[in-house]
Order: sequence, then C-alpha cells, then structure tokens
Amino acid sequence: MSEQNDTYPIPETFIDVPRNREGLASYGEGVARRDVDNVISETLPVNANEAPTNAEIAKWALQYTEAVIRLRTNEVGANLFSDSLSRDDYTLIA
Amino acid sequence: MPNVFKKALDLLVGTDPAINLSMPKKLRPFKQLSERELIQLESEIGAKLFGPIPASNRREFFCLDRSTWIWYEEWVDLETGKQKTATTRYEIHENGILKAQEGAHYSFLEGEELRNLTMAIQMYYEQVARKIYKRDPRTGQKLA
Repeated sequence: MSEQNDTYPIPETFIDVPRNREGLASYGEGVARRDVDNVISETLPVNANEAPTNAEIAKWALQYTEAVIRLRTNEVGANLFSDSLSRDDYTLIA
Repeated sequence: MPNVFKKALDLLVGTDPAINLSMPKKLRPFKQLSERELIQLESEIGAKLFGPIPASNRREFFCLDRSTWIWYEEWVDLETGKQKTATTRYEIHENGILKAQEGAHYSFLEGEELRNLTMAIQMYYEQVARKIYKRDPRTGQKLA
C-alpha cells in the first residue's frame, strides 16, 4: 500500500485510496466494520478461484451507481425532470 | 421570525438553490431539495471517503448520472502559491470504467485502481443511503 504523501495532496488515481483504510472501512453507525480487502470478493458473484474481469467489476460498480440514482430519484420525484443535470453541468457543481 | 425572513428573501431573490443552501438546514424540508442540492450533499460525504482534506483544499466526489462519477480537487501549489484544480471523470461502460482527465487523457482503469474506485462507489452508496436518504443500504427500507 502506498503511504500518505502530504506534499502531493491530489490522488492522481484511485491507487491511493486504501491509504485511508480506517475511513474506507467505516460504514457508519450501527454497521459492522469489514475488511476493505474483502469487500469486492464478498459482493462480486464470481468464481472464488478466478479474479473478476474488468467488465464484471464495471457491472458491479454500475449496480451501485444505479442504486444511488434510485435513491436520489425517489427523493426528488417529479422535480427531477425539471432540474436534471447533464454531463456538461458538473463544472457548475464543482 | 426566521420564516418571515425566508419569505422575504424568496421574494427578493427568488428560490435560487444556492440561496437555500445557505439557510439553516431545519428551514429546508428534505422533500424540497432539488437534484442539484442532493448531489451537493452527497458530495460532502463523497469527499470525505478518502480521509481528511487539507484546509487549503476543496474536494468533490459525486455520482453525476447513471454512468458517470466526478472527482474534483482544488489545492494550492506549494512552490508557486497558485491555486490549481483537477477534474477527473469516470465513465462506467460495459467493458470497463474509463477515466477521462483534462487534456484529453483517456484510459480504462486496471487492477488495483479499478478495484479501489468500485470500492469507493460502494462506500458512497452505503453512506449516502444512511446519512442522506435515511435508508438501509441493504434492504432499501426507511431507517427508524
């Protein structure tokens, strides 16, 4: 695992994410802490003897992404369509 | 009195989401939040997934739409003292996740980087489900 580098704060890639294992392993109140290294192997429905393919991991990420959108859509309801964002809008948020 | 103030403010400047965000949370019924405001709340959680953010930095990490995630970071260059920014877009495709950075750099994520991003996406979902939408991320049921 890479070490924290205070002189270069930008995580250029997600390779640096596990350096904060405590933060990533915390699921919030009332939820048991799990070993970060096991998260993907726990949840990806693949043969335990084979590493998941990039396509399988992408499909898994897509499922969680769609779950986020569903939560958001449920809250916004009809207003979603009058206030929807396009990819080009993200700079306005950021 | 606060309601009167808000009504007056609405009359004067409209119902701009940016104005609403500056109001105390208890004055903003959750159901009235727009998609943009929800994304901003989610991003507050997303930014903290990766540990403490230095005081001089600003970080955003959020799900933009059904296939896009955004990482945005502002920081001060220690050598020049100038502010710098970086935006990275992650697009989920059937065959993998594409990383797009400023300057037309495109690459499909591989190996540990790919696994860590998907792990962060799961963390994001679980935390926004609990902290913003008050739902159990496993069952989708409303939390008590």
